[in-house]
Formats: sequence, C-alpha cells, structure tokens
Amino acid sequence: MEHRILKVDSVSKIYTDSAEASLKAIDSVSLHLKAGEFMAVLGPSGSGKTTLLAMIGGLLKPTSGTISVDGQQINGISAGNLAGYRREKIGFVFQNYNLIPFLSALDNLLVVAHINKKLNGAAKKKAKSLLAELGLDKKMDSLPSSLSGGERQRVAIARALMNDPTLILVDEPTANLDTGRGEQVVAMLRDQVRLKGKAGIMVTHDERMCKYANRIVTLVDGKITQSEKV
Amino acid sequence: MLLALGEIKHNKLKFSLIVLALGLIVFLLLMLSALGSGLIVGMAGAVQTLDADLIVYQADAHRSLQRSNLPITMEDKLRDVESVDRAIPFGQLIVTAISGGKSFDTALMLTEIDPMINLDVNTGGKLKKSDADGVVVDGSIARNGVGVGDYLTVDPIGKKLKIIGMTNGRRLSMMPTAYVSGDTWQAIKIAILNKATPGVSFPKQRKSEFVNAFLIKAKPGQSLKDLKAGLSRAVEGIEPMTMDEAISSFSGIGPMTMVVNALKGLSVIIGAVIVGIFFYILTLQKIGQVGMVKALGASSGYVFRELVFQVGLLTLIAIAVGTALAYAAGQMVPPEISMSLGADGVILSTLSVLAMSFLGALFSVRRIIKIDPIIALGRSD
Repeated sequence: MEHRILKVDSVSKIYTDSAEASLKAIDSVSLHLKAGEFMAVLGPSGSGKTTLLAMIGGLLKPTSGTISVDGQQINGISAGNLAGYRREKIGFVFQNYNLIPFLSALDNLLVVAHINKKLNGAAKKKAKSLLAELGLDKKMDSLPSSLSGGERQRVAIARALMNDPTLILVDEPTANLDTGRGEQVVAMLRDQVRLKGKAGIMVTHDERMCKYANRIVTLVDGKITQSEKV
Repeated sequence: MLLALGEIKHNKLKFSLIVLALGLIVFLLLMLSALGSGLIVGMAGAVQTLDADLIVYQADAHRSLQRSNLPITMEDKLRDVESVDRAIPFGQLIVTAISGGKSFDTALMLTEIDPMINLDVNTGGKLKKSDADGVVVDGSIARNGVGVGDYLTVDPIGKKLKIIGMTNGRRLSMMPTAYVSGDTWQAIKIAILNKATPGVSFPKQRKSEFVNAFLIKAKPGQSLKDLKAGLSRAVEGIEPMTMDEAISSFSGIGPMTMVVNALKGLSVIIGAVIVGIFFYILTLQKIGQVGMVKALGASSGYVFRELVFQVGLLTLIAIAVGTALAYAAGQMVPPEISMSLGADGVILSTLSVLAMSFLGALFSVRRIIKIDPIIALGRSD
C-alpha cells in the first residue's frame, strides 16, 4: 500500500457568530493524497476551499473529523505545536504572495531557515539553488517591489520548498497573474511536487488550471460534489 | 535577527525619525539630570567634594555654614577625641574680587593642606601651605575672563592673589570659590573686619581666631553615629553632621532637589508612555507581516525576540544620539547655567530609557500573541 501523506477524514467546520447563528463551511469532507500527487480544489467563492486549506495547514481547527499529515494527527494539538507542524511539514504559497517587502528574494527564503534556526551556509546554498531552479538566479538580490507578479509567485514557491515540506498548500496561485503566467506558475508547482516527491493541494476557481493536477475535487457549499482522477 | 535588521535597513527614514524622537527623550532626561545635579553642585559643590566623614558646626548656627563660628582652638579638643583620626579647620568668606576691571562675588575658602579638602587641580599648579599670595579658583570664575596667571584683588583691602590653578565643580551658593591657605584666609578675614570697623583692631594671633567649621576624618572602622555622639559629649557647643546632612541643610537645597526629582520622575513616566506607544504602533504596523511569518511556522516567541532586538538596537542608538546631544548642549550653555553631566546621571538615564523601551515592547506582547496566522490567507476570522 502506498504511503498516504494526507488523510482528511469526515472533517467539518462550523462557524458560529455572536448571535449564535451557525454556518457549516465544510461538511464531512474526506480525502487523501499520496506523494507526488497534485490536487486541485475547485469551487465558487464561499464554497469552503480556503477553509479546508487553512485546516489542513493548521491555521484553523476543524469542528469535527480528523486530519493526519505524514501519520501525525493534527487535531487537538496546541498552538505552539501547530506552529512546529507548519514549520516542518507545510509549505504555503499564498494568493497575494505575502513576501516580506523589505527583504530581497534570497532573504525571503532565508526567513524560513531563520524561523527553523537553521540559517547557515547550507541554507544559503539551498535558497540560491531553489531560486536558480525557478529561473530567478539574476533576481536574488531584488526586492519584491521590483519583481513582476510571476516572479513574485515563483519566489513564493521557492520559499514554500525551503523547509523541505511534506505537503505544499497553494491558495489561488493565479489570482493576480494573467493566463499565460498563471499556467507557467502552476506547471512549475506541479513539476516541483513531482520532482521532489511532495504532495500538493491547489485551491483555485480557475478551471483552466485543472489540467496540471492529478486529481480534481469540486467543493460546493462545503461538500465534495465531484472527485476525479486525471 | 534577519527581519529586525532588514526592516531597519529598508526603512531608514522611518527608523531615523524614531531614533531621533527617542534620542530627544534621552536628551531631555540627561539635561534634567545634569541641570538638577548642576544646581546642587552650584549650591554646595565646595562641600560636596570634601573627603571628610563629618563636619562640625556651631551648635546654635541652625546648620548654616555661614552662621557657624567656632574658635580655632577647638581643633586640638576635637583631635583628642577617641576615634578621630584627623580634624582640620574649614571656613568660607564671601568677598568681592576684582580682576580685569570686573568685580564679582567669590567665596574665599580656608584651605588646609589635607586630603580631606580633596582639591583636584585641572589647570595650573596645586596650592601649597607656603603660598601666601596664591589662589586656586573654581572654573566657573572663568566667565569673568579670568585664568591662570591673572590676579584677583580682594576688595576693599586691596590684597592681590595670583591664580596658580583651576579646579572644577566647587561652587558655593552659586558663587565661584577661591581656595587660599589658612594663614592667608585668616589675614584677609581680619583685614576686612578691621577695614569695616574703623577704630577697632582685631587681634592677629591665630589662636584667638574663628573659623566656620571643622572637618573630621574618623579612624578606620569607626561608626559615624558613635563618632558624632562622642564628639558632642567631648566638646560643648558643637553640632557634628555627616556630609550628606550638611549638604541637605544648605538653604533651598531640599525643595530644589524635590522639584528636580519630580521633574525627572514625570519625564520618565511621560517618556515611558511615549516609547510604549511608539513600539505599540510599530507592532500594529507589522500585523500582516507577523501573521505571515506565523503561518510559516514562527512562534510568538520568535516574533517577540525580533521585536525586542529591534527595540534594543533602536534604543541604544537613541541613547548614543541623546547623550551626544546633551554633551554638545553642555558645551554651549552659558556658564551662568549650572550643569553637571556625570557618569552616574548618564547611567541612570540610560537605564531608565532602556527599561522604558522594553516595557513599551512588553505592551505589544499580548497583541503579538493574539495575531492569528490565518490573516496570511486574507481572512480575519
């Protein structure tokens, strides 16, 4: 049996507001992911895509159900341990890149090593190699403000790979890019996932990007309405 | 400290302005401290710098050096008291000195050549017992255009004294001091009295003369409390005091010190609030960035360490700027303004500002802990 990197089992998330009204953002979702797999989660706005991603990434706690990554169940662990889980297992690529504006492309990668207390020569070498791999060898010292949208997203991808994560979580990677650049970036993500033996989940509302995924899951009103292997 | 340093490097103007604002707070604290110390030095520097254990006044002089009058013959009685190592006479005489066509009030100090007088000379030579016409003056006298080698003429007797050296921080009642040997001091005092009371001649024999006070050095290991009691028992009509008691009994020093301390305390409190607000605003500006690094796995401790490093670095630079400004201002203030920027004042103000800054950073801890990494995904819930 192949090693499952991610196992989401009957996970629900219910938001309750101050007026005690509740909203079921995720309703009994189950899915799993193996090494080398790149999954696209499709769905309209408000379908619960980002909530699902946040729960898998340890940024939100599920109301019920279990989530395991690399055999480690993350439900019920403390905030401090969740930070450790994100440090070691997760690589995030955010919709708005979320690069630190006052750090160069290289230093944006080194922040990850710094957080992990591993800022040394090997980390610098790895950061340079990742940037070079993504075609940014001439932009290492550039600040995010002097990079194009595609370049910023590539820096964000390189940063997500910096801690050698098990699982890469990608939130709307093409939202701020034109179609051509968007496809380039998603293809690059898929290649990195395959090449490095990771698993990846990409949340997107852009159906054109699904051709780069191995599996496509469609969420509507917090429920999986369709799941297909490509 | 990648984030802290990177942010400073990238936002030079913003952080320079913060450093300047903090530096001005440091400057304010140092100036208040220097002016406060300067006032005390101006009032009682000549007593503050003495290296004696006790000072003995006349019992009914109401703790006033000027009003105290003790016969010099008392010196032997004081020396005979067990636990007294040394006793020397001490006195001051307010005279009008004339030099270079200017006249100014000066406190003429009776100077026995003894380590208790502790007369450091920073320019020129030291005073010797044989210097009948020599005088060492406090540096504040220089505002009258007087320097080493010049002459002071004591009015109205016309006694000329050559300035052989300059000392510092030894004013008395805001007047510059001039240190002369014991014999010269007595001679000038008698000459002035004779001039002021024509027809009455004051005796010139030293044994019948009066001084203001005596300085006492205790034998090693003696308690000052016991020594005071022993002196009072052995010699009638005296009031022995510690040097601190003597200084605090100078007219006006108590209320002056209270006002200066109140100003300093108030400045520290206002400074702490300003610094706290500064660093809290800095934290608020970083919420997005903090949320993002937390999403990458940074702990609240990591973020707090970065903030504390940044606060510490900015504060240290601000302290350097504020101290440099205070020293520069010290060079520029007119000599009429008494100012004393000592190492203790600098250390105390520096520690206050550092404490204020870290306290300010602590205000931000709760905010940092509460920042939810989910904001990195563009959500606020």
